Amino acid sequence: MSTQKLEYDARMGGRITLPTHVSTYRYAAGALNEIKGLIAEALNPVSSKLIFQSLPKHMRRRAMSHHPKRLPRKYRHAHKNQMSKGGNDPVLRKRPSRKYRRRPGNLLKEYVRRQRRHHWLETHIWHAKRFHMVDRWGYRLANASCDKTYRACYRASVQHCLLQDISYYTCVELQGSLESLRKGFARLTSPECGLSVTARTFLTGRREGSVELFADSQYPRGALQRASFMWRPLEEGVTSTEDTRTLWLWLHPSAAQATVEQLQRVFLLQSRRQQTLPLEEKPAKEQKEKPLRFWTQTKAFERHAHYSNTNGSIQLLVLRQEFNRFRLTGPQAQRVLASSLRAHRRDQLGVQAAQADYCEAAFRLHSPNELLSNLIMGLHIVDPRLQRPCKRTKAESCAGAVPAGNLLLSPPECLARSPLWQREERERLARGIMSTHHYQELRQQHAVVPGVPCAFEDQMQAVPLLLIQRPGSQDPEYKRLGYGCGWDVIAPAKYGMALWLTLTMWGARPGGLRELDSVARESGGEQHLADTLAGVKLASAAAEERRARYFRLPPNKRTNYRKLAVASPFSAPWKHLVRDWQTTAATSSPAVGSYHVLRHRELLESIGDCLRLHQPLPDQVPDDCLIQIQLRLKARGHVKDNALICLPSAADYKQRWRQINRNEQAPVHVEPPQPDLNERTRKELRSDHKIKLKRLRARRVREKRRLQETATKRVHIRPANTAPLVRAHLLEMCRLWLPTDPAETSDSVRRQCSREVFGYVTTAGFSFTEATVCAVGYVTPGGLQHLLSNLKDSKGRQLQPMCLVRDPDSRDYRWATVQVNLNVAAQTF
Amino acid sequence: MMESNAPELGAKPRTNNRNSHSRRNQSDSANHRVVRKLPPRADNDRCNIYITSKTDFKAQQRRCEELLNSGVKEIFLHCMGYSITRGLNLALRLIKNSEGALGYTINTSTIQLVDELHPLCDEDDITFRQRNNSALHIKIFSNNLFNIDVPRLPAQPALPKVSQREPPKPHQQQQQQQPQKAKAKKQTTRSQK
Repeated sequence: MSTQKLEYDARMGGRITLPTHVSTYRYAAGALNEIKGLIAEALNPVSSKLIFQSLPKHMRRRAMSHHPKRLPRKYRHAHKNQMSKGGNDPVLRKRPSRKYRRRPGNLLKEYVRRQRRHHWLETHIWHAKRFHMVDRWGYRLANASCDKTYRACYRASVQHCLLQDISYYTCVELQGSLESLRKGFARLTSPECGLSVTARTFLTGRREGSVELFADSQYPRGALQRASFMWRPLEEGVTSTEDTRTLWLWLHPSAAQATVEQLQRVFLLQSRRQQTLPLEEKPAKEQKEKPLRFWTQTKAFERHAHYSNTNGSIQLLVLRQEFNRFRLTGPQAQRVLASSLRAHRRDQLGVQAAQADYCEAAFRLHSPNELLSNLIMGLHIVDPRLQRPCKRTKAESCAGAVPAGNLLLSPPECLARSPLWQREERERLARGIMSTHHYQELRQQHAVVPGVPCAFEDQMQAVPLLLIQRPGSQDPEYKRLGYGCGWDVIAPAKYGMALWLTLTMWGARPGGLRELDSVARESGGEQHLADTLAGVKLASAAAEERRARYFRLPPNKRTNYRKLAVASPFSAPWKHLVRDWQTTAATSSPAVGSYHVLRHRELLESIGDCLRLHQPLPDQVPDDCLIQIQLRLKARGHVKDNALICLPSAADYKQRWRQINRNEQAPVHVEPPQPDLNERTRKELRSDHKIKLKRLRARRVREKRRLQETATKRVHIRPANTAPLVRAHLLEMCRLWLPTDPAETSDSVRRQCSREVFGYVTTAGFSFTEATVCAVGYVTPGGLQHLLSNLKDSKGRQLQPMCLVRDPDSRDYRWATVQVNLNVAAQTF
Repeated sequence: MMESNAPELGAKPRTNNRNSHSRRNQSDSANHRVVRKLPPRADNDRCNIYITSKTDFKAQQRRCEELLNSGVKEIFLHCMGYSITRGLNLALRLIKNSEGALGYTINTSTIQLVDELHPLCDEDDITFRQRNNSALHIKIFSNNLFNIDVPRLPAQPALPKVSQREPPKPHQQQQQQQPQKAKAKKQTTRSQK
C-alpha cells in the first residue's frame, strides 16, 4: 500500500483532496454544532408538512385530512387552521341529509337548540310555517302572515273573527293581605289614572281591570306599562273576611322585568332561589363562640321565579309559560267560541253546570259587547280536539238569543271560579293530557266507523278555561261603538296547539303583531304610549332603522332634511319639544328634559270640552305633559309616522276658504326650501378625503419602489390601515347630512320651519273605520292653547280647531282635525 | 233623477247633541260614567240592514238598491231612536225610485237597552240602568210579476240513496273524515251495481 490510492474526486479530475487525519477538537466542534441544530429542530420544528402527515405511521388513519376527528385531539385546532388556509375548509361540512334532520329525535334537539336565545310559544311551529317571525322581547313572535292579509285581518276584526296568540304576556301571581297590597299598589299607581287595583268592582273577581303602572312613587313620570289584572274569586265556604287574597297581573314582556323589580322594591321581596336558613341544632351543646349558624339553601332549578318578603306574608310568583292566552276580536268570535268550546257537564247542578249554561247563553248573543264589560267566565270544556269540523268551516250562528239584559243583571255568583288558579290542578292537567299521537293511535284502534265519537273520548280530561270579555270601543263619539270587542281565552299550558287548531278550523283568521298595532290604530289609540318603557324602546329601534335606511341610499336619493327644515327626521324629540313649549315661569321645574303623557281623565275631559267650546285650557294642565290626540286628514294627503303637527297661521285659514271656493286640492301651504349651508362643505370634504386617500396610496407605492431597488426578493406594498380615517370621515359626513341635533340650540324644535311645531305623530296610516288617513300623535298643552287662542278670524267667526300636518319627507302642509283621546289610561284593545 | 239621488235633508242635530254631552258630563261626574252597549240584533245576514246615523245616506241607499237588484226578494231595515227618520227617508226614497216595483210594511217595537254605570271611585261597584227605545222594522219587498211563487211539481219518488249523510253535528268527532268519505264513495258504487 505504498502507492497512494487516488481519491474519488481526484480520479474524476477534481481538486478536492481529503485530509489524511482529523484533529479531534475540530471533529468535536462539528459534532457540537450538529447536536445544537438537532435540538433546535426538535424544539421548534419547521416543517412544510401538514400535521396529519407528520404523525407516525401507526397513528395515521384513512381520510384523515378530511375528517379532523380522526386526529388526536391536541392536533385538531392546528389542523383546522392549516386546512382553512388552503381553502378547502373541513369545518364547513356538508349539511346532513334531510332524512337525518327530520328524524324526530334530531328535530327535537334542533328545536331545543334554537330556543336557547329566544323563547318559543306553543304555537310557534304552526306560525313559523305561515308567518314572518321577528325577535322581540325575548320571544320569537309572528309578525304578519306571509299571505296578503292586511285588509282581510281588518275585516275579520270588524265583521268576523281575528285570532292572535298573545301567550307572551307574563303572568305574575301576587299573594298577600288586601291591606298591604292596597298600600303597595298605591305607590305604583295613581288614582288620577282611573280605578285602582283594589277597587270594589274588581275585588270580587267578576271583572278584569287594567291599571297604569309607574316606578315607585314617581307618578306622573317613570311610566312602566299598562297591565291588566284579575283577582281570584273567593271560594264557596270562605268569607270575605279571609285576609289573604291572590292577584294575577298580566305584564307585557317589554317591561315585565322592570315591573317585577319595582314590585320587589315596593313589597320588600327577596328571591327564594338562594336563602339563608338557621341551622337546626340542639341547644344543649355548648357553643359559646358561634351562637348563630346559618346554612345557605340554593335551588338549582326553579320552574317559576319565586319572591317573598321576610315574614312570608306576601308572595310573588312569575308564572312564565304557564298559560296560553289567545285573543279573539270581532263579533264572529261568539260563533267561533260557541262551536269550538263544548261544555263538559258532569252533573246537572253545581258550579260547572251554572257556568256552562251562562256561557252558552252568552255565546248566542250577536256581539261580545252586549255582555258586561271585562267579564270573566270560567268554563270546563271537553278536549278541544273533539270539536273540530272535518274541514275549515265558518261557524254558523245559532238562533234563540236570550235578551242581554238578563245576562247582564243576573250572572251566577260562581261564574269566575276556575281550577286554573290552583297550582296542583295545573300540574295535574299538564300530566294528564293525552298526546296527539296517542290520541290518534287510540282512534285507529277504537273507531269502527270513522268520524263517530268513541268511548275512550269520554275519559279524556276536561279542560278548564278562563274567558275574558273585551268591550271594544265604549265612546261612540270617538270611535264606532264596539269596535275591537272580543274575547281573551286563557288555557292551561300544553293545550295551546289543540285549542288554536280548533279555533282556526272554525273560521277564525290568525293574525300577528302587526294586527295588534293596526287594531290599536283603527280604534284611535296606541298600544305603547310614548313615555312607557316599551314605547321608548320601540321608538328608538324604529329611529335606528330609519337612520340606517337613510344612509344606505345613494346620496342623490336621500331626502335633504336641511332643505326641508326638519329638525329631527327619524324620531320625535319629545324632550326638546316640551322644553321649547315650556313657559318662562315653569323653566325652573325640577326635572328639565322630562316629559310624560297626560293620563288624568278629568283633565283630559275638560281639555276636550275646551276644544269643543273654544275656551282656554284649564290651569291645572302641567307644562311638561303631552296630550294624546287623534288626527283625521280633511282631504288629500298621506301621513307617515313621525310627521310634524304644526299650528296654522291666519293666512292659512284664509287660504283654506279660498281653496274651498275654488275647489282646489293643493296643499294649503308649502314650506319654502331652505338653503343647505353644508352642501359645499360636504363636497369639499368628500374631494379632500379622496385626494388624501390617493396621496397616502401614492406614498406607499413610492416606499415600496424604494425598498424594491435595494431588495433581492419581491417586495409587497404595505397594507393601507386607513380604516379609522374612513370611519371618521363617514361620521363627519353623516353629521353634515343630518340637521343639527335639537339639543344644541333652544327653540330648535318649535321654530324649525315656517309654521310652529307643537307635536309629533307616532303612528299613522289609512284607517278603514274612518275611511280617511288617520294618525295618533301627541301635542303640548302650550301649543294647544295657542291653537285655541287664534281660532277667531278677522271677522270674528269661530273656526273649527284644526292643525297642519307635514311629513318629514315632504314640504306640503295639510289640514287635519284634532280630537283628544280621553281613554288614554284605560284603553280597551 | 238628480233630485232622487239628492243627499238626505236635515243632518243630525249637532247642537242638541253637544248640549246633552256637556250636561251629561256635569250631572254624572259625581259618581259614575255611563257606558252604552251595542243594541241587540235580530240577525246579521245581508238582508238585515241596520241604519245608523253616521253611515253615509247615499251609501246605504246604494247598498239597498244593489241588494234588491241582485235578486233578493225582501230586505229589512232596522232603525232605532234618532235614526228612525233616516230609515223612513231611506225606505221612501227606495220606493219612490223603484217606480212601483217595491212594496213595504212597517212594524214598530220597543227595544230594551241596558247601560253600564262605571264607577269613578274605588268604593262603588258597577251598576246598570235599564231604558227603552223605540225601533222600527221596515220590510221592503219587490212586488214584481216575475217574483210570483210558482208551486212546485209534486216531488218524484226519490232514488234510494245510501250515501246521504246527515250534516255533521258539532258535537261529533270529525277529524278522520277522509277515510269516511272514501268509504261512502265505495258504498255508492256498490249500490249502483
